[in-house]
Amino acid sequence: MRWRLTSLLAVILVIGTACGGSGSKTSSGAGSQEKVTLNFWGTKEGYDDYSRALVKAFEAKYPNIHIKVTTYPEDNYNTKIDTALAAGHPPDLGPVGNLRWLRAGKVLPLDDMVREQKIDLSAYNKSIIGDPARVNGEFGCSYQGKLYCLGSYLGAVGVFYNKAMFKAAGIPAPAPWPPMTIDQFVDTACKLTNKAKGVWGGAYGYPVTVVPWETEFSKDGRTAVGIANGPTAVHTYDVMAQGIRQGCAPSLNTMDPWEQGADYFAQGKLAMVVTDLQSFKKIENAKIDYGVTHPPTAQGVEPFLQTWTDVLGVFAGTKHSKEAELFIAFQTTQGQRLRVQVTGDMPISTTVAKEANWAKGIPGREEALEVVPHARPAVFIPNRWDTVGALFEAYDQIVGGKPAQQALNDAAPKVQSDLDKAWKDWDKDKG
Amino acid sequence: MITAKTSGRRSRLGRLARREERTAYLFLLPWLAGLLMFWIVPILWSVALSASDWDIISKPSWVGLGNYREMLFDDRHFWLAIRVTLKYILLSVPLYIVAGLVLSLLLNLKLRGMNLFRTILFVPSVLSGVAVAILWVALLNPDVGAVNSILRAVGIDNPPRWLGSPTWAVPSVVLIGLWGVGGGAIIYLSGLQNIGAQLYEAAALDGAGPWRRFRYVTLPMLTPTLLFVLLTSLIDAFQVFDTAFIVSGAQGAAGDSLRFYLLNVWYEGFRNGRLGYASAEAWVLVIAAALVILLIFRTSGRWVYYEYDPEKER
Repeated sequence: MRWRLTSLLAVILVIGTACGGSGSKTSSGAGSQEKVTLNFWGTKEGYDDYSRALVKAFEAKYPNIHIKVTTYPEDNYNTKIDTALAAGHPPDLGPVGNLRWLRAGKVLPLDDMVREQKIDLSAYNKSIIGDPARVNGEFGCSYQGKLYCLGSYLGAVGVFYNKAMFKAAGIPAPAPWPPMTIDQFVDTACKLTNKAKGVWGGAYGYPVTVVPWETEFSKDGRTAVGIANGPTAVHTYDVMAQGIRQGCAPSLNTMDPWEQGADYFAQGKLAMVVTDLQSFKKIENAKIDYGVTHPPTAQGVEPFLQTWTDVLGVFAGTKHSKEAELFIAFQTTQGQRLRVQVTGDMPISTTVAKEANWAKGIPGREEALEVVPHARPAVFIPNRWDTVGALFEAYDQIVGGKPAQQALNDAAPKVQSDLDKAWKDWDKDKG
Repeated sequence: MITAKTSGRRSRLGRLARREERTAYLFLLPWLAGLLMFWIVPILWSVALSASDWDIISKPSWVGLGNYREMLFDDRHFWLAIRVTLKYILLSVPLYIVAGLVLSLLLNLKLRGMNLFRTILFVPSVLSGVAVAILWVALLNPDVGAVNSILRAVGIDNPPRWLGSPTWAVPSVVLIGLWGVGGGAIIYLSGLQNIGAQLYEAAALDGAGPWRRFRYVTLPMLTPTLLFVLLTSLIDAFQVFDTAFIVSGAQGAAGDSLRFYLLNVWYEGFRNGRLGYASAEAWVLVIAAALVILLIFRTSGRWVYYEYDPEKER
């Protein structure tokens, strides 16, 4: 009996010793030899050649830090993180663009890291870095005056236009700034449409994806009635719907400008398209002489440019916060240059864009660099996509022939009801 | 008379039975553990959740009937989802039942190559719902889709905008589901082939023509199968999700027209992070579906006929 007990104790000691040294429980500095593994969770769609190159370059610079990458389909990512947070085992790093996580204190602020690493944010796009006075979590990285994420590239919605088509039609090319009004945009699209050649003059999505949200909502994002069915919104929706009815722009089920706009533009089927400005390479490979301008705005409404980045942040509860912050710092500094080399995406900093010669002397890219500094934070609306369903429906009805005022009069109270519910939930969680 | 001998024998049998019972429970234990862990506990947990406010990453807070109150009085999307789902049920269930039945009657004909036709018609019902939805989004494209191209070719200048039209959005989803009606037809087919030939012979001898044979023999004898198809179609209709999700996307970009009930539950739970509220909505669905099914069962005695009915035999 005694020898059995002794043997058991010996086995336990051996196992305990073997397991004890499997990972560091404390953060180590960059110069430390202690091996650290950072768990990085990302989306399958977002983890591309740049991400792989970034991880490789970071590990080469910091050989004691290993990045263990796990990716999930984009639609599942938020749920995976929610579950991991609930279980108390979130990853160290990952995209953190979910306000619920920020509000619940599940993401670490990066302000101290920015100061320690001396990262110059002055040339970073302001709609990402944010305005401390505004909540703009969805498209930006700041919340209640603190910075929670940083990125390496700037995504933006803009307008590509075909210079050759403008020249052939005798229409002056639009300047990067100021933007056209929606009336000018649709009018120009109709002039450029060539049905015989199968060319649409312009392509755009639903109004809520094109014009500033102040067209339908108050500046504080709490009121829709009177604005969503007000004269500006009615006129805007009517003009855009007419553009489709007259055949100057393809219907939204013919072509989704967001997903397919760049393809159609590269094939010469569109003279202008409101789409994702990350499609430069595709258009340049098609040898289209293109220009870039700011998205159109509704009459009398301050122009708005929708922007985004790879919102990488550090989850609270990480045992390696210093190492994780090192990765964030790396990806937002050297990562920007790496991105220009690997994918050709526009860097988040205009200074880096110039230093890395992102524009390469291409006029369209130069114009894009003139457009993006005009980006500003969006009107904040919690769960925004849950509040605009009635507006999508109203627009479909208007395209189908229903009078715009009537369609929006029906939609506005529904939007207001959804808005009130969204704000009620938001204010309840203010805590 | 109980003797010591019989009492001892009874006691041995009792011990044996008890031992066998214990052994039986031991064998059942894994299944029972699974039932408890994966069915009973989650159900009870979701009942508790439905009375809480929980976003999964923070602690749940008790709200009692607050979620249900909000649903009934403060949430436009709840009533919208009910309307959209009801519209779909009222359009799809009768259509699928009738279409399945007609198809099965055709498939029951004695023609060459019928097995091939049965296979071809059954294949769509086994395809992935997601793949089918993606395919039909392309087919129903208002400008370049095959469906509208055919409609224009036959002279309809202004065909519907299908998924892009608030009026036609739900009928479009019904149309997409109709493609899989072959699955129901196969079930009807098995019911048809179980109808005794002697019933048809007797009807023919009495001078019944094809319609009367269908009306007074086929249809009544098929009512058990009809009941099954009705119940499964209803359950499927309550749970429409794949097609609506693919068409609408995770952001619900198609607007209100396709806000099906289960999609709405998904939005509330996984997009808006309101798992407590989503649980409450899920329970409303369960109760509503259960009531509908109970009603059908209660009334089925009046219209479902069994060739052998023990109640009538007494």
